[in-house]
Amino acid sequence: MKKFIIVSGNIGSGKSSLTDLLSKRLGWTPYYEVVENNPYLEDFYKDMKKWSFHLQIFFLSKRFIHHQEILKNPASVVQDRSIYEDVDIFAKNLNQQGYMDDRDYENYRELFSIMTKFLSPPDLIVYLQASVPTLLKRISLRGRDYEKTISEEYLTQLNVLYEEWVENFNICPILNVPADDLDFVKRPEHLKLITNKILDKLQGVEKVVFD
Amino acid sequence: MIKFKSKFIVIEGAIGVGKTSLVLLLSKRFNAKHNLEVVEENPFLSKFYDDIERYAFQTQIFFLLSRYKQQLELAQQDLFNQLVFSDYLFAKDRIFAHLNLSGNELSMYERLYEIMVKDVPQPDLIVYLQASTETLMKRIALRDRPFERKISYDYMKRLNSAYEDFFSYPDNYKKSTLVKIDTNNIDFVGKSKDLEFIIKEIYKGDSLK
Repeated sequence: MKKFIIVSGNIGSGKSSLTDLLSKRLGWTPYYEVVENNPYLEDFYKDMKKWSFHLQIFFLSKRFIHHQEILKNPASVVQDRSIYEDVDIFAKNLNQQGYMDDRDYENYRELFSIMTKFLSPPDLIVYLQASVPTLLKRISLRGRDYEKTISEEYLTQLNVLYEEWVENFNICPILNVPADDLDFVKRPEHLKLITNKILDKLQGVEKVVFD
Repeated sequence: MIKFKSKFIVIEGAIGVGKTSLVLLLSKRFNAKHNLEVVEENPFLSKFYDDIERYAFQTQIFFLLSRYKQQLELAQQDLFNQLVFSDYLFAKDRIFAHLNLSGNELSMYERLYEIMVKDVPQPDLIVYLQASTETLMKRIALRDRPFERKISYDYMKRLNSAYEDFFSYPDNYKKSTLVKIDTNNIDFVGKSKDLEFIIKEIYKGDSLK
């Protein structure tokens, strides 16, 4: 039977690496974040208040189509980042920081809930939980140009929202992975451990392990 | 007494043509339900006419959502048991979007519209009330809704031709029977013989089904 899992987590938590490794190990199809250029991104950075709504609607409509493609694909799938994080993490943060006014935010949330109603949820979300120092370290290591301006404060705000999100999420089961000590290169057994946990979760098997 | 085969009848036409008045008269006359568009609740509308470019997208998305929700409620009622008159067609939203949006905004809108339109009930019959732009401007001035005072002749002319275009492609209204009525010299609110004329026209279209 087809399985559909999503790797979630803050910027720099290791989503793409895990998506890549899992897809190879499980023989599933990986889906990475939509990299298509958002035509509002440049305007957004010049005037965030004016363009935040457009930016989010663009992401929403793209990600919706992406999510639909995944559901249509008969193969099992690992996706890098979920559509749900758009509304509960990124748009919420824009609203809390005053970059999206309440009216736009409500309008957006409502549209989001109508659209996601059409989407079957994934079978499992793997949440990579990392501390801000870890995130900062990984972001600087990968050296993406457009991520250079990401501040500690911003990552902290997102981390708070991620914690709330995981706490209240009830669309599918979540597997919480502490990502600070995760090291796939030096500790190959980590990947095996996570993979087995995922498969157990998907089968609905819970085991008691005595150390 | 005239009895319609259609269960779901939509009255359409440009701003000011008299959709709502006609729906109210018809639903009273035929003891039918009416489904009226909610207009005044859009929190963007007053700002929209002040700065169309800045607020067009937000306004359109708001309307799309609110019309979609209304249509879903309508679909949940039993459309097969009681005659319903509505003063708008869901696709109307798209007619306005094409007037007010372009480029990326329009393509984002189209993507959302496509997703939503699949759930929306199709009317059995559509009555398209036609009028010249001059007539429409006169009727808008007469009813004097505060948020419509800034509507220009030019905008109405574009809207009117967008409506004409829309109803000239049967693909746009698919399964519904279309009845076009020229209302330039008709006063169905003031003259009962004019209302009777309209009812006969609708009945003729209804019998073709």
